[in-house]
Amino acid sequence: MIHATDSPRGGGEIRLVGLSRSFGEVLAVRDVDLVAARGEFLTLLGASGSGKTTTLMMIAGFVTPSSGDILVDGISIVGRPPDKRNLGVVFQSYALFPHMTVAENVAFPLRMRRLAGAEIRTRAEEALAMVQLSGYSDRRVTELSGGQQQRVALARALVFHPPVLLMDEPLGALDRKLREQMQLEIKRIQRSLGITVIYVTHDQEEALILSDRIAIMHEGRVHQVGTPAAVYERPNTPYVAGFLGESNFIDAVVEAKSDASSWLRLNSGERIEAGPTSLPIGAAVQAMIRPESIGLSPPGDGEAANSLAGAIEMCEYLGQSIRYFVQTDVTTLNVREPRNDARRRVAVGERVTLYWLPRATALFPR
Amino acid sequence: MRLSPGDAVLAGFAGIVSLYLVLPSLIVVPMSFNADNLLRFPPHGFSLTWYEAYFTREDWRSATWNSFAIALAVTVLATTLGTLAALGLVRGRIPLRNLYIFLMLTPMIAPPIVSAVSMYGVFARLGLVGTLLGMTFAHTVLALPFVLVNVVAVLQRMDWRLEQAARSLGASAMRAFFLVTLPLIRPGLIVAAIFAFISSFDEVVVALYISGSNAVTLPVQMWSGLRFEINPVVAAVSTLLLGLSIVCLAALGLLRRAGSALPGPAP
Repeated sequence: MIHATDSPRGGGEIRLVGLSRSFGEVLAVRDVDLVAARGEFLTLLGASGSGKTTTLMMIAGFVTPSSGDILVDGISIVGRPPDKRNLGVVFQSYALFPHMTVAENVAFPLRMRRLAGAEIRTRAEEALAMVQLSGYSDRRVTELSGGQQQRVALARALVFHPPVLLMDEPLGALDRKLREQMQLEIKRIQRSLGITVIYVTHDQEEALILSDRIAIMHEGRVHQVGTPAAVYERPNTPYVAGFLGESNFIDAVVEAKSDASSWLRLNSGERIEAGPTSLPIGAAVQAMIRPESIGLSPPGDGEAANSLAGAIEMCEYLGQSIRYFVQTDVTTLNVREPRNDARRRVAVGERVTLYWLPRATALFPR
Repeated sequence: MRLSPGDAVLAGFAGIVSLYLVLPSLIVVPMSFNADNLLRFPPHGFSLTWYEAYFTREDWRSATWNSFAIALAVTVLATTLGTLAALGLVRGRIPLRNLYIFLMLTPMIAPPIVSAVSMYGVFARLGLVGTLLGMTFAHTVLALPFVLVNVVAVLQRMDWRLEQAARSLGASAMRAFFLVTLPLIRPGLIVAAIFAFISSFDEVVVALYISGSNAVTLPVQMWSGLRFEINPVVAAVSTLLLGLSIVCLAALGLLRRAGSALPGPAP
C-alpha cells in the first residue's frame, strides 16, 4: 500500500549517490552524484546518448542501477518497484491509456490507491482544472490534440500529490508555439505546488527557461551543475561551453597573472586580458568567448582591454540579431550583434575591430 | 463510377478465380437437399431428410458434441498458454528466443500425418487415445502456433510505455497487465481464440488417429460416413459447417475493423 497519497503539498528531496548503469560493455551512466532540493526544478540536459533518460528511468524504477543509490527524503528507493515509489512520471509519448476517457486516465492513480469514488471524482476534477481541461472529462484521449494530451498526462502524474515529478522530454512532440505555452504552464504549476521536478531535455533553450539548476550530462557523466546563468556564463568544461550556446575558442598561453586578472599571449603574438585563473603561468589554454560578448567597432578603435583587428568574412541575418564571421590573425570568430535600427550594419569585406571584456573570457586547459 | 476496360477485365478475371475457389465448396449445398439417398450432383428432388437424420442420429449428435467440447477446451487452453508464451517471448530477455519460437511453430510446419503418427505413439502409451482429454491435448499442440503468431504480432505493436505509466501511477505488475495491457491486446486475443477454435474443430488427420471409437469428432464421423455410407447426410453436415465458417470469418472481419488500433493479423 502506498501511504504518501495524503502527504502535504510540497516537494521532496532527491539524492543520487554514485549512480551508475552499464548495458553490457557500455557505461550509460557513470558515477552520478546529484541533489535536487525540495521544490527545485532540476534539468538533466544533454545530447541523445548522454545518459539523461537512463538516469531518469532509474529514479522512476524502470532501470535497475548497476551501483549507487537513490534517496527520496533520505530514504533509499532502489529496492522498490516503480509502483511503490510514489513519483509522478510524464513520458515523452504521453503514454495515456487509449481505452480510457480523460477522467478515467486521471483517476487511475487514485483508483490504484483505493480512494473512495467521491474523492476520486473531486480530485480528478481538480487536477483537470489545474491544467485547464475542465469539461474534458468524458472525452476519449484519442480525440485530444497533442497539447491537450500532454496536459492530461501532467494532471494524471500530479493528481496523487507525489513529492517529485519526473519528466522525460515532455514537450518534444509539440510545435514551437505550443511548446512555449506549455513551458509557462509547467513552470506555473510547479511553482504553485512547490513540487520537486526532475526534467530531461536535449533542448538547451527549454532548460535555460525552466530550470532552477541545470545538470549537463555527456557520455554518462554530469559535467556541470548550476543555475542557468552559471552554466552559461561560467562553463567549466569545453564540452559544456560548446554544448550550451555558441562559443569561440582561441588557443593561447598564460603569460602573467594576478589575483584579479590573467594575461594571455595568442599565437599571433597579441596579448589579451582574461579573468583570474588557477592555471599556472606558461600553461597552454583555450580561451572561450561567447559571440554576443564580442562587440564590433570601426578599425583602429582600440580603447578596450581586449581588441583584435579583423575583416568581415560572412554575415547571416537571424531576425533578432546578426551573426558575423570575422577573420582575424588567430582564427575566424563568430560575433553576434542584436539587430538594431540605430546601429550601422557592417558589410562583408569591411575591416573592423573586435573588443570584449576580460571577464567575458573563460579559460580551459588545452 | 465508370469502369475502364482494364478494370472490367480485372473484375471479370477476379470473379472467375473466386468462382473456381468457392464452387467446389458450394456444390455440397444443393447436394444436401437431395431427395434420394445417393450423394450426387445435380440433386434429384428436394428434401430435408438428411438434415433430420443429422440432428436425430446418435452417432452424429455425439460427434458434434465431442467436437464442440474439444474445440472449446482447446480454445481456452491454447489461448492461455499461447498468450503466456508470447508475453515471455516478446518481453523477456530469453536466450535462444528464436529457437523456442521455431519449436513452438513446428506443429504448423510439420506434415499433419507426421504429427498424428508421433502423437499416436506417445498417447497410446499414456492411455490418452480415444479420450476427450487426449484429443484436447493433441489439438492444443496444433492450435498453439496460431495463437502464438497472432499474439506475438499484437504484442510487438503494443506501446510498453503504457504499462510503465501504469506502474508509475501505482499499479502492481498484475494490475497493470489486467487493467492496461489486456484490454489493449484483447482484439488480438479474440482473433487468436477464433483461430484456435477453428483449427481444432475442422482437424481430421490427427483426430483419425487419436479419437479412437470413444472420442469421435465431427470431421472423423464425416470421413467414415463418406467411406461407409455415401448418403447425403455428409452434404447436410458440410452445409452447416460452411455456415459456421462464414459466421467465424464474419466475426473476424468485424473484429479487425473494431480493433483497428491493434488489429490482429492472420497467420
